[in-house]
Amino acid sequence: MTTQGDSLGRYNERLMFALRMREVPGERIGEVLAEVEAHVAESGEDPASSFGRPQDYAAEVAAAAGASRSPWRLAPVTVAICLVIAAGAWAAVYLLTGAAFGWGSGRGGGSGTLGLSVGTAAGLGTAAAIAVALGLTRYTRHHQDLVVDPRTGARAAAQSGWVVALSIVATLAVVVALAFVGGLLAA
Amino acid sequence: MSQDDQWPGEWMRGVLSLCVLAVVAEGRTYGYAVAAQLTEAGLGTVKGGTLYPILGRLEQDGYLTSSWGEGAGGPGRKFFDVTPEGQARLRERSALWHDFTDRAGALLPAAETTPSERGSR
Repeated sequence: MTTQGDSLGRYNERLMFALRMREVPGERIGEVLAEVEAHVAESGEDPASSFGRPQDYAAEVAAAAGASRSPWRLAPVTVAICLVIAAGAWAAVYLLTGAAFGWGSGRGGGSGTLGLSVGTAAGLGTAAAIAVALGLTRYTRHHQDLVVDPRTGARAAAQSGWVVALSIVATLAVVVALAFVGGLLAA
Repeated sequence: MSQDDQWPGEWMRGVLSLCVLAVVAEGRTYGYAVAAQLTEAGLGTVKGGTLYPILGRLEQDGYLTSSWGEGAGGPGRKFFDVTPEGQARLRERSALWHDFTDRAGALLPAAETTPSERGSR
């Protein structure tokens, strides 16, 4: 039973994320997750063999729900996240290519990461930040639209905070790693 | 038709929703029991990934209502009931379906000329 519970938990986590990205309302997501759990409990089957891949099932559910897409809206939290990523990316590139290690500064004209100027590298960092922010916009704009278990009325485990935090950290890590590798190559 | 055989997919897509409505119209039931009854009726295995979107759409169209209740020691069940609109829809569509299959059947060669494995059913 432990294995089944584990695979169900993982499946529902991925399904919830996929349904969020397809902008299915939180109330409906709660229903869908509970249906999967109830069905798997009765049939004893693996969720993936009954429902297929989470992203495919999410597409099915979204299509059945009539794909009622709400208009594009930029949430304040998304703007803040974007600014943090851009600032972090710029700072990381600047520190790693310039002042902190002296790389680039002695090579005339401040050439830094991968031979790019600090300004260009910071621009790339900003572009990466915007790309992440666009994804997060879709994810966070239903932040208030909670996923509620229809059986108990309990709020489903908050996954959203993790996704947002992970996206920021991962983006920053990629930018820092690129700058660092670039610095090593240039040295 | 043998156990693991499936009917042609496009036939199932055409009639499954009506069959699900018919099963629920027989009395309050829940997802897994609907799937079991469809299999019992000889329609093959209906996956959860196919069944629940159909139930959801029938509910959205006002043919079914649902409510969560106690499961047998499990995490609860979503029970479905047919609405008067669902009853009316089932009567109307069933009549149409019989008319349709009679006409299509009259056009097709008789069952004796089909392959022997079909004849054994």
